[in-house]
Order: sequence, then C-alpha cells, then structure tokens
Amino acid sequence: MQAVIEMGVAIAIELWQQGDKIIDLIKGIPGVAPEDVDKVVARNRAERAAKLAADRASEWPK
Amino acid sequence: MTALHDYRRESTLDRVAGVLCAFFAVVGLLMVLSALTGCAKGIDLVEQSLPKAANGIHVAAQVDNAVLHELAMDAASKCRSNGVTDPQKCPGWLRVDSVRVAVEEVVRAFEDDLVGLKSKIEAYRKVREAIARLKGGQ
Repeated sequence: MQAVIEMGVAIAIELWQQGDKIIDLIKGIPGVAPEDVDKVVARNRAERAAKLAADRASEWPK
Repeated sequence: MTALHDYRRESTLDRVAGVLCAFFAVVGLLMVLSALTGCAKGIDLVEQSLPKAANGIHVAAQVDNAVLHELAMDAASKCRSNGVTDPQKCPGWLRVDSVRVAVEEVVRAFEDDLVGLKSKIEAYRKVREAIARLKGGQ
C-alpha cells in the first residue's frame, strides 16, 4: 500500500513538472485549435509588464 | 557572479538566435513545399508555429530581465547606501533600467513581426485559393 501511494505521488509530481510539455503535446494533436499569435503576444506583453513593475517596486521599496 | 551573468546572456542570445533561425528556416521550407504541392497544410503549420516562436522570444526576454533585475538590485542597493532614495537620481540603476527598456522594445519589435506575419499568411492563403480557383476554371 505504501509503495502504491509513493508511486502515485511520484507520478503526480512528474505530471506537474511536465505540465507545459503535456499541454504542448495536447495542443499539437490535430483538431485541437492552436492559440492565436495575437492572443499569445498580448498575454506575454501583459505578463512582462507586470513582472517589470514588480521588479522595479522591489528594487526601490517604499 | 559576473561570469554567470555573461554565460546567461550568451545563452539567451543563442536561444533568441536559435528560435528565429529555426522558425524562419521552417517558414521558408514550408512555403516552398506548399507552393510546389498546392497543399495548404504547409501554410497551416507555419501559422501554428507563430505562437511557439512568440513564446520562445518571451522566455528569452524573461531570462534577460531576470539578469537585469539582479543588476538593478545591486545598483539600487549601492545608491541607497549612499543616501540616494530616488531612482531618477541613481545613475547606475538608470543605466540598467534603460537596457531593460531596450530589451522590451526589441522583443516587441520581434512580436510585431510575428503578428504581421500572420496577416501575410492570410494573404498568401487567399493567393493559393485564387490559384486553385483558376486551375479549376481551366
């Protein structure tokens, strides 16, 4: 029983770590609509802007 | 630490160059194949690879920004230790921040090109359809 639980936890951790690759794999399956480049670029830009603001704030804490 | 920074910078540049070279090589090859075979699959693959190229450039920018954040932290810390609390009066931090702004501008230029490529792909698809229609009318 202990071994089964440990194996389950190990598999869950591996799936969690490989999450991005699994999502990419699923998106690569024909019939699954790929993301639009416009949306990806908009999301990435927003993410970078938020990170930059957070970085600047941490460099000069009030 | 400086050696680590240099290594990471080189690594990031290599990554951006690799992403772009691979991407445009694939775009060129698939467009030629698409034209030769009359098959729309090639151009579909090009369109599907655009978000992947955008994500590759985004990840490279994040690595650069992480390095610049460390440098900015060091510069800000030095200024604070000299009694400077205004970022605009800290030359070291301003230098780092200007590079950070430049990184964002370059990345955005790449992204604009990728988004622009999408509209060109749509135009190319229409051209292929027109050729198919002409062939059908013969």
